[in-house]
Amino acid sequence: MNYRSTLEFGKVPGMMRRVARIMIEGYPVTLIRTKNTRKKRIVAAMMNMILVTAFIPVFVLGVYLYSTEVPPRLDWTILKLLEDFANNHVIITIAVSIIIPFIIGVVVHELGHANATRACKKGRVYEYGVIIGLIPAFYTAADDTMITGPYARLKKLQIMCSGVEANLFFAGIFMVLASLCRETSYFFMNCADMQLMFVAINVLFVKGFDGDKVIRIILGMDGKQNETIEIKKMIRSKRYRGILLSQGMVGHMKLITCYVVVFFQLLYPVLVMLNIILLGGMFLW
Amino acid sequence: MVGRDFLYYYDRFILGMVVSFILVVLSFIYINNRKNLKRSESIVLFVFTLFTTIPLNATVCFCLIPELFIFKGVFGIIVIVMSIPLMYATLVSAEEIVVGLIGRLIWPHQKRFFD
Repeated sequence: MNYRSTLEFGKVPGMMRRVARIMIEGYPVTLIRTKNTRKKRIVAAMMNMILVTAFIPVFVLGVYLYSTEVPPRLDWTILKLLEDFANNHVIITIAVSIIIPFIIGVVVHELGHANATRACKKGRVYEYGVIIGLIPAFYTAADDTMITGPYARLKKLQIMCSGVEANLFFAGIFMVLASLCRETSYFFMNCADMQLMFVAINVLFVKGFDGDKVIRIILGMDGKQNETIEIKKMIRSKRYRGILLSQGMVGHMKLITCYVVVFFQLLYPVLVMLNIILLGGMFLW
Repeated sequence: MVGRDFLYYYDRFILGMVVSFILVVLSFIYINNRKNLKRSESIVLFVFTLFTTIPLNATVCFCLIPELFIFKGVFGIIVIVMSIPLMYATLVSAEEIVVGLIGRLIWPHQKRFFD
């Protein structure tokens, strides 16, 4: 199947999943094309099961170890050299504190989604790539539209949540690693912080992020193409507001839900502004 | 002003967590007992969760305010003013997702939102 001729990037719901779309969209470049084989599906299913069961315990363990144990100094020569090298070169410091943790966070997040999609019998993963834009991002071309059956909604929910689960899992692992040795603690803690930042950003009900898609599936808003227009219509039109208010308690709740969803969409520019201010402040500070 | 240790706020944090947990459980019981909310439980739970998690979210945000005073001057004020609503929204989003997932597991058959 020539999926490139049938896929229009980002326009078919559920067909393309984009990563860390913080800023303006860019041009997608394919890095790896992947086939969907039975063996890969079985491995993905096992890894997904481990992820779902272990992400909370590993995260809690990481938080406990990092907050209670003082990492020991190993005094190995190679670690001292790495620590001095990282601290004395600005570019290496920026790479160690921002760039490498960002790349790890983004890759982990998308691999979580791809893994969960592949774990489903009818889920397909086609390629991994990079989006070249103002801020580079990674993407996974995954298709979960063919997942049907009585548990399809739960499976799609789990696929949406798997990115955040993977970030929490690796945040726990990095915190455990940070508690082992003081020389490498700075790097591993930066990686853990970046994973948690991805969790915090992706749970928001901002359009394009996982939290928005999850809450729409939970509330049953995932059927129509133009839900945002429907929601705005319900808020702006006096007639629609009247119809909702006449439906009793459920109608009132629907109206409040619409206002909350629209409010969260307004958070997107605040999120972008805060990122710009904090990044700028870090360089000026 | 330097941020205080988290243990300083531990009691208030635990109180906020317990109060929110009790309110969430009560909301589940209330929704389960109302027949007119059948098949619309997720929507009602979404709205209830906005209010029942106020104690926990408020205590967490007020715990973190002193930590944010690390930045001084105009820059610090901008960071605080923009960060606290964002922090609150992040907490609400995470709680809505967790409670919504539990609600969906308890009541799997729901009407669509635009029905």
